[in-house]
Amino acid sequence: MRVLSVDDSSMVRKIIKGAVEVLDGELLEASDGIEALELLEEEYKSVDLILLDWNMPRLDGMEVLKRLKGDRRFRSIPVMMVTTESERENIVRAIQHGAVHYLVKPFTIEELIKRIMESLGKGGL
Amino acid sequence: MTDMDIEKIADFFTESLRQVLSTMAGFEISHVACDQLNTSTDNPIIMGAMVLHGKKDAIISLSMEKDTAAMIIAYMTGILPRELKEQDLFDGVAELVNIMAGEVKARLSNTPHHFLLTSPFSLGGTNLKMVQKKNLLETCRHLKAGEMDITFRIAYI
Repeated sequence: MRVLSVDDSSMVRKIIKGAVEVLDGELLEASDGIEALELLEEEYKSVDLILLDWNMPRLDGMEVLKRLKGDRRFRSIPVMMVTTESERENIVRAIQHGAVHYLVKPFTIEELIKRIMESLGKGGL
Repeated sequence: MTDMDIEKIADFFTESLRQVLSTMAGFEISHVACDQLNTSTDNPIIMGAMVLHGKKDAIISLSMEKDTAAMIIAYMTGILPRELKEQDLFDGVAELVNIMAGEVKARLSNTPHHFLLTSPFSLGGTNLKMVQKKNLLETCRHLKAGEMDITFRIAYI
């Protein structure tokens, strides 16, 4: 399993890395949307899940989500939002644009692992 | 932000921080009045801060000793404190501010006190102080998690 974490916080990426390693997976990292799209150009065939922050420099998570779902190469990769944006309208917007899950910070490591499993269609723990 | 009682706003933020640290690091924090704690220290400090935009703009900050930041981030990430780089600490404290502010933003989103976030940033050094112009409305909270001290400040700007 390969997971791409797109988040401008290295601390959040480290937390996600810990969760992915619990699941015997490998983490790819991007610190903003532009970096993520560039990385996907090379790696999209082997990425099983994208965890996407909303507020990032250069290109925010919602714009990245729209581009991912508008590109036939990337659109089948499930995307889970992992963000501080917890207003209902933002959650609805993200789901409408194709996110499969929405995890609001702060979260526990157990919640994160459970949501990753669910996003991969593997159910909970 | 509006003219809502700054003490009430500060309580929202500290409650949010309590939730963040409890959920992500397993720390329980308690409040100590600002004047009950000697904040001067010769140890290096890391301060995370963010400007909030609303009807009134505000700046919030969280400051703590570098060792405290290392301990908190170690518990959040599962990485030993000695294996964390200085950049991880600066990033982690800024992200704590971001998560805390995001939670309060959501709570106040459908009220007249709603506000927008900006990018968090962090500062570091010894004897770090934030000095505001006179007569600005500001308040602070000191928080303790075991032997660790964290200071939250908010000022309308």
